[in-house]
Amino acid sequence: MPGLTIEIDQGWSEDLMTTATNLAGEMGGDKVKLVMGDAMKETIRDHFGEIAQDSEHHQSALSLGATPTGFYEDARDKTQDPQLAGEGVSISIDKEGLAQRYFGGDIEARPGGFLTIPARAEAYGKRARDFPNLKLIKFPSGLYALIDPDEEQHEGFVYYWLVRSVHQNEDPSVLPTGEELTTVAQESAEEYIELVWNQQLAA
Amino acid sequence: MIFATPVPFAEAVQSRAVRSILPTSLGSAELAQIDAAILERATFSARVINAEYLQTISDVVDDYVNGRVNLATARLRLKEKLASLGYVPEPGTEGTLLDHASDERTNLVLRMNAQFATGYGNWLHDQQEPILNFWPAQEFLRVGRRMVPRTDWPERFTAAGGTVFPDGRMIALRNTPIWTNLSRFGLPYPPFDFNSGMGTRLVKRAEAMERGLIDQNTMIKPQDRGFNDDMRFSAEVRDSALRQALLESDDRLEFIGDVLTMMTGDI
Repeated sequence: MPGLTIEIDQGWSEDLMTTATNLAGEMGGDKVKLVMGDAMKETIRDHFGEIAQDSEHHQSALSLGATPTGFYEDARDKTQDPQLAGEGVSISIDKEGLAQRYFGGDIEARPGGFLTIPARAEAYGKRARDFPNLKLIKFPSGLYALIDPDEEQHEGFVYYWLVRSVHQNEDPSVLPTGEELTTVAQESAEEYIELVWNQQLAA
Repeated sequence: MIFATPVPFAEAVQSRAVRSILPTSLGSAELAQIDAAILERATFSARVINAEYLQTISDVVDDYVNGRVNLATARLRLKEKLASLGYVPEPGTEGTLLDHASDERTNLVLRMNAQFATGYGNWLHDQQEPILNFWPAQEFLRVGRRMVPRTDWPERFTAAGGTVFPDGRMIALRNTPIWTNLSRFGLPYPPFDFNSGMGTRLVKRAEAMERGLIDQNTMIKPQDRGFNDDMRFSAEVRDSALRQALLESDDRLEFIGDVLTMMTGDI
């Protein structure tokens, strides 16, 4: 079977070249990177929006019967615009405590001090200083706690347990996986280029 | 690669920087009558006339927006400031939204101010041409848990000019009046109501086309809230411009000292 030749008339060829030049401009600039960055940002925000409403990431609050503090909803709000840096894109999340949850690790009290672990719903999401009347107590078991002196001095009436340090396990599920982010960025870049190509052709 | 070193949210920070302190005796219903673009340039809280406390709110919100403090610490700083000013709630309001030192009120002040800043920051960033081109629409959806979530959002979305699709999703083109109509505050970005758990997410052109909202080539025009222009002026000039804009916006508004008040009833 013979081959075939596609002949492109000059006018169409010129149009195509213009389209290609414009498309190269889109790709050569930061626009594709911006779209890729925003696609990642949206994926991260969607992830926070989902886990903000689940139970799995609110075990501490729910086990105390407390209202969650809106940590992940706030992280969603604070997921920043992508920053174009050299060949890459970075996205920052200005949410105190998020890195601790993601990486895990030890948290130490200041020298001579204690960390406060909420022990009841009223204490959850608050500082011990929110309750000026609390009193330090040491139970026979050796545990330290803050209690309301007007209540029974019993381990069931504790506002906060006091500890010198805690270890928090890492929880990578607070963020989408790297693979998820890479995939969504790549797909969005391809879709964006296709969109611009089609728009250029239609113009 | 993930690092534990975030950088400040520049656009959100800018939206905080252009705001003037605005002590006011007005309640939330009266404040709702003032043009959103004017109030967007003020740090205020319903019926807070103490400029020193408003400055503390502003400082604490800045720290909260920048992730330097968590909500519990931010709230405590507000309470401590109120205590140092000798604040005592009106009898019968203790622990309620009318009590400026209550958890409910301090949470509301901090969260709303922070959400306005980040809402604006995200909105402004997404006004860039490639983003408007690729994501010309957005969805209105629940992004946070609430003990008693509002259930009338679909009706409000429709009343604002939007379409609730058969699959229940609320999607509309960006930069249309739907979003300011939907907002209790007349702003195109979240939060859309007090203590609301609703937010927005971008929707790609391909999906917007499938839903008949837009064609392939129609471009959404970028918008601007003018904060960049405001930043060219000193804080004093911005304060003065805010006062002038408020006085021109409504004949009933006046300043007694530095406090914005509203003349009511016959004179």
